[in-house]
Amino acid sequence: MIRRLLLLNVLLAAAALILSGVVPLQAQRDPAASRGKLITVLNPAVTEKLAVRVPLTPRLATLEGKTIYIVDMNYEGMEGTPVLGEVQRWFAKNMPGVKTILKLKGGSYVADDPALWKEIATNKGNGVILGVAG
Amino acid sequence: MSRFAGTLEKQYGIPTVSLSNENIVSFGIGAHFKYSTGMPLRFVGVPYPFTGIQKEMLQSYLEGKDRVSGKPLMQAIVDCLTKPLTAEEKKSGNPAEAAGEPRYLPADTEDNLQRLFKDRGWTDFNPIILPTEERVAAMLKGTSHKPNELIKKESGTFGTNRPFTVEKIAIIAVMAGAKPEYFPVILALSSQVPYMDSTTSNACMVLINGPIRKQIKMNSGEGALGPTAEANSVIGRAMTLIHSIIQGYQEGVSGFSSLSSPLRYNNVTIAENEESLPEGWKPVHVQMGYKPEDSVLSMFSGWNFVNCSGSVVEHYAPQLLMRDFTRVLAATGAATILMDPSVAKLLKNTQGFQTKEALSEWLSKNAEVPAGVYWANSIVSGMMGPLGKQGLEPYSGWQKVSSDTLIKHLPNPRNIHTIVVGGETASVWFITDFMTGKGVSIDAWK
Repeated sequence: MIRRLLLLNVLLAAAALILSGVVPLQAQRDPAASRGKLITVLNPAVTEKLAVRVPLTPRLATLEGKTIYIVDMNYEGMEGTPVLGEVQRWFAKNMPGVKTILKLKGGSYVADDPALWKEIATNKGNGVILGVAG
Repeated sequence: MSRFAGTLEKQYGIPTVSLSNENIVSFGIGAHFKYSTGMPLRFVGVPYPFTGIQKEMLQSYLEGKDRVSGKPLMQAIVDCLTKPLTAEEKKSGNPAEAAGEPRYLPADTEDNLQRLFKDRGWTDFNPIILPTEERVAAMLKGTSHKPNELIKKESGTFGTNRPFTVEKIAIIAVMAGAKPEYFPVILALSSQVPYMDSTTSNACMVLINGPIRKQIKMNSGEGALGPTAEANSVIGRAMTLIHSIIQGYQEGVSGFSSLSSPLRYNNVTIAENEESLPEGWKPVHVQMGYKPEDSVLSMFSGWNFVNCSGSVVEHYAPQLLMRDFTRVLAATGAATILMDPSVAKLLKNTQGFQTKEALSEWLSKNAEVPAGVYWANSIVSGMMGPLGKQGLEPYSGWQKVSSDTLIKHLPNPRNIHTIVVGGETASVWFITDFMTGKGVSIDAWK
C-alpha cells in the first residue's frame, strides 16, 4: 500500500514537473499568450509648439457710414468669384449706408498682395471681407 | 487666407472677416490658429462650390446660414466686423505650453499598443512593428547622426512648428518595418517635410538614385512600380507615417483632400534602373549635378499618372504618343515620364534621341493643347491665370487666343524629366505631370 502511494506520488510529481515545464513553453510559443505581456515602446509623437498669441483689432461700433472692402482672393485665378458680387449687391440693397468696394487681389490665391493692403489702409478702409477659398 | 487676414488685422488694424468653405474655416480656427498665426481670426463658413453655379444658387448661399455660428450668413458677416472682442480674442503673448510628449508610452500589451497607435493616427491602418528600445537602438546604428540631433522645426502643414529629431525618425522607421541600412534614405526623406498636400488629389513620388539602390536591394527592374521589393515598400510606407506623425497630417483636421489619391499608399517609391540606361542617357541625379557615385533622393509631386496601356507599336513612334498624352496632364508646365529601358533604347536607337534632354526638347516643342482645355484646369487657372493677367508670357498670350488655338503648354524643357525604370518585358511607360526640385543627398545621412 505504502509502495503504491509512493509510486502514485512519484507519478504525480513527475506529471507536475512535466506540466510545469510544458505550460510556460507553450506560452512562449503562443502569440496570443505573449500579447498579454506588457511592452514598453518609444513614443513617435512630436510636440507641436503653440504660436505666440496676437489679439484681434477692436471691431467697429457700426457699419453705417463706413467703407468696407470686399477682397476677392482670386481663388480660380481668372475673373474673380461671383459670390462676392452677390455680397456687394446684398449690402447695396439691405445696408445702403455702407460703402462697399470690390477688389480683385493680385496674383494667385496663395500670393500676397501688400500693395492692396496698403491701398485699403491709405483709402481709410474701415473693414475687410475676404473671400473665398476652398 | 489666414495670412492675409492676419496682415490686415495686425499690421493695419483693420477688422477683417474671411469667407470660406468649411475645410479652410476649420483649419483657420483650429490648427492654424493654435500653431501658426496665434490669431483667433473670424470666419464665416459658406457652402461649396463658389463658381460654375447659377445666380439663384449664389443668392441661396447668402440667404442660408453661416456654417460656423449658425446665424443667417450676411448677419454673421456683419457681426464679425462689429461684435466686440471676447477675452479670448484679446489675448497676447506666449501661451502656457502644454506638457511635451513623453519619450516612452505607458507599458501595455501588444494588442492595446497596436490599437493605441491606430487611434492616435500614427499608422497607415496596417499593423506596425512596435518601436521597442532595442529595435530603435538597432535602427540608430544605420546612421552616424546622434539620436537627439534636430532634423527640422517647421515640419507641420503650412510650416507650423513641429520640431523632430533623428530618434523620432528611427522610431518611425522601426514602425514601418525598415532595416537599419534603409535608415539614411528615410532620414533624407524626413528632411523634405512638409510634403505637399491639397484638397485636390495630388500625390508624391520618391526617386532613389546612386549606389544605395543596390546596397539596400531596391527593385528598379521587373515589377519596379509594384509591391515587389521590401526596400521600396517599406521606405514608401515610412513616408506615409512621417506625413501623419511628424507633419501631423490628419484628414479632416489639418488636411482636407476630397478624394485623396491611391498613389499615396506607397508614394510611388522607386529607384532608377541606371544600369539599363542607353549610352548617353544620364541618371536623374547626375542631370541634377550630382556625381554618379552619390546616392540621392528626389521628391516629385503632381496629380496625373497616366498609363500608356500597351507596348510601343511599329506604326506610331513612342514620342508621338507621349506628346498626345500630355494633353490630359494638370498642365503645370511640368512632365515626368517613367519608361521601361526598352522604350529608352527604342527612343535612342530608332528615333535618334541621344539624351534625355533631347527628348525633353522635342516634347517641349511639340506638345500642344487647345487653350480652352488648358485654362479649364483649375490648378492652371488658379496659379498661372493671375500671372497672365499681370502680363507675364506665355500665359498672357495664351489668355488672348481663341479657346481652340493650340498652345505649347510645356514651354520649358528643363521641367520635363525622364526616369528609366523597369525590367524590359514590355515596352511600356507612364506619363505624369509630376515636378521636382533638386534632389537631396542620402550620403549626408549615413
